[in-house]
Amino acid sequence: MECKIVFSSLKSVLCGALIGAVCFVSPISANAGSVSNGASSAMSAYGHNYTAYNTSITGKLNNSKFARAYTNINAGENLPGGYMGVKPMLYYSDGSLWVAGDWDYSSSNSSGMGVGVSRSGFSGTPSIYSQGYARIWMGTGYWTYGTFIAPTLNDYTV
Amino acid sequence: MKKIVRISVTTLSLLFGFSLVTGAIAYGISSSENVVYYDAGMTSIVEHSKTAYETNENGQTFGSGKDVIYPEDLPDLISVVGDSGKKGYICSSELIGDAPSSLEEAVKIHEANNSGVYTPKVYNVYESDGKTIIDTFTETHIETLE
Repeated sequence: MECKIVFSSLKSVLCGALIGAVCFVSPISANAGSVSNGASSAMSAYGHNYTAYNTSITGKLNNSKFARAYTNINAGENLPGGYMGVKPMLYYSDGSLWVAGDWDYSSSNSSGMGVGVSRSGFSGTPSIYSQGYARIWMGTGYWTYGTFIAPTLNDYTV
Repeated sequence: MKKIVRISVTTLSLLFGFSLVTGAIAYGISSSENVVYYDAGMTSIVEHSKTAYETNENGQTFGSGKDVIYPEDLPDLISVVGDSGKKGYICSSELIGDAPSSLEEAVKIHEANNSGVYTPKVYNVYESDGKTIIDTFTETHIETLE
Protein backbone atom coordinates (compact mmCIF):
# COMPACT_ATOMS: atom_id res chain seq x y z
CA MET A 1 0.00 0.00 0.00
CA GLU A 2 2.84 2.40 0.99
CA CYS A 3 4.74 1.48 -2.16
CA LYS A 4 1.65 2.21 -4.18
CA ILE A 5 1.29 5.66 -2.61
CA VAL A 6 5.00 6.45 -3.16
CA PHE A 7 4.80 5.30 -6.77
CA SER A 8 1.61 7.30 -7.27
CA SER A 9 3.28 10.36 -5.71
CA LEU A 10 6.29 10.01 -7.97
CA LYS A 11 3.98 9.84 -10.96
CA SER A 12 2.23 12.99 -9.75
CA VAL A 13 5.56 14.80 -9.24
CA LEU A 14 6.59 13.87 -12.77
CA CYS A 15 3.22 14.95 -14.15
CA GLY A 16 3.50 18.27 -12.29
CA ALA A 17 7.02 18.76 -13.60
CA LEU A 18 5.82 18.02 -17.13
CA ILE A 19 2.92 20.48 -16.85
CA GLY A 20 5.28 23.10 -15.40
CA ALA A 21 7.77 22.60 -18.20
CA VAL A 22 5.07 22.82 -20.87
CA CYS A 23 3.52 25.93 -19.26
CA PHE A 24 6.89 27.68 -19.08
CA VAL A 25 8.50 26.59 -22.31
CA SER A 26 5.51 27.05 -24.62
CA PRO A 27 5.41 30.85 -24.52
CA ILE A 28 9.21 31.02 -24.82
CA SER A 29 9.13 28.77 -27.89
CA ALA A 30 6.34 30.82 -29.43
CA ASN A 31 8.51 33.93 -29.23
CA ALA A 32 11.85 32.30 -30.01
CA GLY A 33 13.55 33.69 -33.06
CA SER A 34 11.57 36.91 -33.23
CA VAL A 35 12.89 39.14 -30.43
CA SER A 36 16.00 38.94 -28.27
CA ASN A 37 17.39 41.34 -25.72
CA GLY A 38 21.00 41.59 -24.68
CA ALA A 39 22.03 41.92 -21.06
CA SER A 40 21.88 45.42 -19.65
CA SER A 41 24.95 47.36 -18.67
CA ALA A 42 24.69 50.08 -16.05
CA MET A 43 26.99 53.07 -15.86
CA SER A 44 27.44 56.04 -13.57
CA ALA A 45 28.93 59.21 -14.96
CA TYR A 46 28.91 62.88 -14.09
CA GLY A 47 26.31 62.29 -11.37
CA HIS A 48 23.87 60.33 -13.52
CA ASN A 49 23.10 56.63 -13.89
CA TYR A 50 22.53 55.00 -17.25
CA THR A 51 21.37 51.60 -18.44
CA ALA A 52 21.98 50.47 -22.00
CA TYR A 53 21.00 47.32 -23.86
CA ASN A 54 20.43 46.02 -27.36
CA THR A 55 17.42 44.37 -28.98
CA SER A 56 17.34 42.18 -32.10
CA ILE A 57 14.11 41.56 -33.99
CA THR A 58 13.40 39.38 -37.01
CA GLY A 59 10.08 38.76 -38.66
CA LYS A 60 7.79 39.20 -41.61
CA LEU A 61 5.74 42.30 -42.40
CA ASN A 62 3.45 42.50 -45.44
CA ASN A 63 5.01 39.26 -46.64
CA SER A 64 8.49 40.80 -46.58
CA LYS A 65 11.20 39.53 -44.22
CA PHE A 66 12.90 42.10 -42.05
CA ALA A 67 15.68 42.26 -39.46
CA ARG A 68 16.02 45.10 -37.01
CA ALA A 69 18.42 46.25 -34.31
CA TYR A 70 17.72 48.72 -31.54
CA THR A 71 20.24 50.22 -29.17
CA ASN A 72 18.57 51.65 -26.10
CA ILE A 73 19.82 53.86 -23.29
CA ASN A 74 17.90 55.12 -20.27
CA ALA A 75 18.82 57.60 -17.55
CA GLY A 76 15.64 57.42 -15.50
CA GLU A 77 15.56 61.21 -15.25
CA ASN A 78 15.22 64.06 -17.71
CA LEU A 79 18.59 65.36 -18.86
CA PRO A 80 19.77 68.26 -21.03
CA GLY A 81 20.12 67.60 -24.75
CA GLY A 82 23.07 65.56 -25.96
CA TYR A 83 23.79 63.73 -22.71
CA MET A 84 23.21 60.32 -24.34
CA GLY A 85 23.97 58.92 -27.75
CA VAL A 86 23.66 55.51 -29.41
CA LYS A 87 24.62 53.80 -32.66
CA PRO A 88 22.81 50.55 -33.59
CA MET A 89 24.37 47.76 -35.65
CA LEU A 90 23.17 44.47 -37.08
CA TYR A 91 25.59 41.59 -37.68
CA TYR A 92 25.53 38.23 -39.44
CA SER A 93 26.07 35.43 -36.98
CA ASP A 94 29.62 34.92 -38.32
CA GLY A 95 30.49 38.36 -36.94
CA SER A 96 30.41 40.32 -40.22
CA LEU A 97 28.72 43.70 -39.97
CA TRP A 98 25.59 43.79 -42.13
CA VAL A 99 23.77 47.04 -41.27
CA ALA A 100 24.99 50.08 -39.35
CA GLY A 101 23.15 53.23 -38.40
CA ASP A 102 24.65 56.60 -37.65
CA TRP A 103 24.99 58.09 -34.17
CA ASP A 104 22.03 59.93 -32.73
CA TYR A 105 21.96 61.95 -29.52
CA SER A 106 19.23 62.71 -27.03
CA SER A 107 17.13 65.84 -27.32
CA SER A 108 16.51 68.28 -24.48
CA ASN A 109 14.69 66.93 -21.40
CA SER A 110 14.97 63.34 -22.55
CA SER A 111 15.21 60.48 -20.05
CA GLY A 112 16.17 57.88 -22.61
CA MET A 113 16.21 56.92 -26.25
CA GLY A 114 16.16 53.94 -28.58
CA VAL A 115 17.66 54.09 -32.03
CA GLY A 116 16.97 51.41 -34.62
CA VAL A 117 18.10 50.27 -38.03
CA SER A 118 16.27 47.84 -40.28
CA ARG A 119 16.90 45.81 -43.39
CA SER A 120 14.25 44.16 -45.53
CA GLY A 121 13.94 42.73 -49.01
CA PHE A 122 16.82 40.28 -48.59
CA SER A 123 16.97 36.69 -49.73
CA GLY A 124 17.36 33.67 -47.50
CA THR A 125 16.96 33.59 -43.74
CA PRO A 126 20.21 34.97 -42.37
CA SER A 127 21.08 34.36 -38.73
CA ILE A 128 21.66 37.75 -37.19
CA TYR A 129 22.52 39.36 -33.89
CA SER A 130 22.82 42.98 -32.86
CA GLN A 131 25.18 45.03 -30.81
CA GLY A 132 25.45 48.79 -30.60
CA TYR A 133 27.54 51.54 -29.08
CA ALA A 134 26.51 54.14 -26.53
CA ARG A 135 27.98 57.49 -25.56
CA ILE A 136 27.45 59.32 -22.30
CA TRP A 137 28.45 62.86 -21.42
CA MET A 138 31.30 63.01 -18.92
CA GLY A 139 31.34 66.75 -18.34
CA THR A 140 34.11 67.63 -20.76
CA GLY A 141 33.61 64.97 -23.41
CA TYR A 142 32.03 61.60 -24.13
CA TRP A 143 32.80 58.07 -23.07
CA THR A 144 32.00 55.45 -25.72
CA TYR A 145 31.29 51.80 -24.95
CA GLY A 146 29.57 48.84 -26.56
CA THR A 147 26.36 47.20 -25.44
CA PHE A 148 26.22 43.48 -24.85
CA ILE A 149 25.09 41.33 -27.78
CA ALA A 150 21.38 40.70 -28.25
CA PRO A 151 21.41 36.96 -29.08
CA THR A 152 21.20 35.47 -32.58
CA LEU A 153 17.83 35.10 -34.35
CA ASN A 154 16.84 33.48 -37.62
CA ASP A 155 13.07 33.12 -37.42
CA TYR A 156 11.28 35.10 -40.14
CA THR A 157 8.00 33.20 -40.03
CA VAL A 158 5.95 35.76 -38.06
CA MET B 1 -10.33 8.29 4.38
CA LYS B 2 -7.82 6.54 2.09
CA LYS B 3 -9.27 8.39 -0.85
CA ILE B 4 -8.76 11.78 0.86
CA VAL B 5 -5.13 10.90 1.70
CA ARG B 6 -4.51 9.74 -1.89
CA ILE B 7 -6.02 12.92 -3.36
CA SER B 8 -4.03 15.11 -0.95
CA VAL B 9 -0.75 13.31 -1.70
CA THR B 10 -1.41 13.47 -5.42
CA THR B 11 -2.25 17.20 -5.31
CA LEU B 12 0.80 18.02 -3.20
CA SER B 13 3.03 15.93 -5.46
CA LEU B 14 1.69 17.67 -8.56
CA LEU B 15 2.30 21.07 -6.99
CA PHE B 16 5.80 20.03 -5.89
CA GLY B 17 6.71 18.82 -9.39
CA PHE B 18 5.27 21.96 -10.98
CA SER B 19 7.14 24.24 -8.57
CA LEU B 20 10.36 22.30 -9.01
CA VAL B 21 10.45 22.82 -12.77
CA THR B 22 9.04 26.36 -12.99
CA GLY B 23 11.29 27.49 -10.15
CA ALA B 24 14.36 26.05 -11.81
CA ILE B 25 13.51 27.65 -15.17
CA ALA B 26 12.72 31.01 -13.56
CA TYR B 27 16.01 30.92 -11.69
CA GLY B 28 17.85 30.11 -14.90
CA ILE B 29 16.22 33.04 -16.71
CA SER B 30 16.86 35.53 -13.93
CA SER B 31 20.45 34.34 -13.56
CA SER B 32 21.12 34.92 -17.26
CA GLU B 33 20.22 38.63 -16.97
CA ASN B 34 23.64 39.97 -16.21
CA VAL B 35 23.77 43.57 -15.16
CA VAL B 36 27.23 45.00 -15.12
CA TYR B 37 27.99 48.10 -13.12
CA TYR B 38 30.80 50.57 -13.35
CA ASP B 39 31.85 52.77 -10.49
CA ALA B 40 31.79 56.56 -10.60
CA GLY B 41 35.44 56.66 -11.60
CA MET B 42 34.52 54.55 -14.61
CA THR B 43 36.67 51.66 -13.46
CA SER B 44 35.30 48.93 -15.62
CA ILE B 45 34.18 45.57 -14.33
CA VAL B 46 33.96 44.05 -17.80
CA GLU B 47 37.37 42.80 -18.83
CA HIS B 48 38.94 44.01 -22.01
CA SER B 49 38.67 41.65 -24.93
CA LYS B 50 41.60 39.31 -25.32
CA THR B 51 40.80 38.43 -28.91
CA ALA B 52 43.96 37.75 -30.89
CA TYR B 53 43.34 39.29 -34.29
CA GLU B 54 45.20 38.49 -37.46
CA THR B 55 47.64 41.15 -38.66
CA ASN B 56 48.16 42.17 -42.28
CA GLU B 57 51.43 43.14 -43.96
CA ASN B 58 50.85 46.77 -42.99
CA GLY B 59 50.60 45.95 -39.31
CA GLN B 60 46.85 46.45 -39.14
CA THR B 61 44.76 43.98 -37.17
CA PHE B 62 41.63 42.66 -38.87
CA GLY B 63 38.66 40.50 -37.91
CA SER B 64 35.20 40.59 -36.41
CA GLY B 65 34.23 43.08 -33.75
CA LYS B 66 31.96 40.48 -32.17
CA ASP B 67 31.45 40.82 -28.42
CA VAL B 68 33.85 43.75 -28.12
CA ILE B 69 32.73 46.24 -25.45
CA TYR B 70 35.51 48.79 -25.61
CA PRO B 71 36.16 50.48 -28.98
CA GLU B 72 39.90 50.34 -28.31
CA ASP B 73 39.64 46.52 -28.34
CA LEU B 74 38.25 46.47 -31.90
CA PRO B 75 40.57 45.37 -34.71
CA ASP B 76 41.81 48.15 -37.01
CA LEU B 77 39.75 46.64 -39.81
CA ILE B 78 36.35 45.23 -38.96
CA SER B 79 34.71 42.58 -41.17
CA VAL B 80 31.61 43.64 -43.12
CA VAL B 81 29.46 42.58 -46.03
CA GLY B 82 29.53 45.44 -48.52
CA ASP B 83 26.71 47.02 -50.50
CA SER B 84 27.17 44.60 -53.39
CA GLY B 85 27.53 41.60 -51.10
CA LYS B 86 31.32 41.36 -51.05
CA LYS B 87 33.00 40.41 -47.80
CA GLY B 88 35.76 42.74 -46.73
CA TYR B 89 36.77 45.21 -44.06
CA ILE B 90 36.17 48.82 -43.08
CA CYS B 91 38.20 50.94 -40.67
CA SER B 92 36.77 50.51 -37.18
CA SER B 93 37.87 54.01 -36.17
CA GLU B 94 35.83 55.46 -39.06
CA LEU B 95 32.83 53.34 -38.11
CA ILE B 96 32.84 54.42 -34.46
CA GLY B 97 33.80 57.97 -35.44
CA ASP B 98 34.81 60.92 -33.31
CA ALA B 99 32.48 62.00 -30.53
CA PRO B 100 31.00 65.50 -30.66
CA SER B 101 33.13 68.05 -28.86
CA SER B 102 30.18 69.56 -27.00
CA LEU B 103 26.57 68.99 -26.03
CA GLU B 104 25.53 71.67 -28.53
CA GLU B 105 27.22 69.78 -31.35
CA ALA B 106 25.44 66.57 -30.30
CA VAL B 107 22.06 68.31 -30.31
CA LYS B 108 22.78 69.67 -33.80
CA ILE B 109 23.47 66.11 -34.98
CA HIS B 110 20.16 65.00 -33.48
CA GLU B 111 18.31 67.86 -35.17
CA ALA B 112 19.94 67.08 -38.52
CA ASN B 113 19.03 63.39 -38.18
CA ASN B 114 15.42 64.30 -37.59
CA SER B 115 15.14 67.06 -40.17
CA GLY B 116 14.56 64.62 -42.99
CA VAL B 117 17.81 65.70 -44.65
CA TYR B 118 19.93 62.65 -44.10
CA THR B 119 23.17 61.96 -45.91
CA PRO B 120 24.33 58.44 -45.12
CA LYS B 121 28.03 57.85 -44.55
CA VAL B 122 29.72 55.64 -47.12
CA TYR B 123 32.85 53.68 -46.19
CA ASN B 124 35.35 51.99 -48.46
CA VAL B 125 35.42 48.22 -48.10
CA TYR B 126 38.96 46.83 -48.32
CA GLU B 127 40.62 43.49 -48.74
CA SER B 128 42.38 42.39 -45.57
CA ASP B 129 45.42 44.37 -46.73
CA GLY B 130 43.57 47.57 -45.82
CA LYS B 131 44.48 49.09 -49.21
CA THR B 132 42.64 47.33 -52.01
CA ILE B 133 39.13 48.74 -52.32
CA ILE B 134 36.59 46.07 -53.31
CA ASP B 135 33.22 47.55 -52.37
CA THR B 136 31.45 50.21 -50.34
CA PHE B 137 29.47 50.00 -47.12
CA THR B 138 26.66 52.53 -46.71
CA GLU B 139 25.13 53.35 -43.37
CA THR B 140 21.36 53.03 -43.01
CA HIS B 141 18.94 55.73 -41.97
CA ILE B 142 18.08 55.42 -38.31
CA GLU B 143 14.76 55.53 -36.51
CA THR B 144 14.90 57.27 -33.14
CA LEU B 145 12.36 56.74 -30.35
CA GLU B 146 12.38 59.02 -27.32
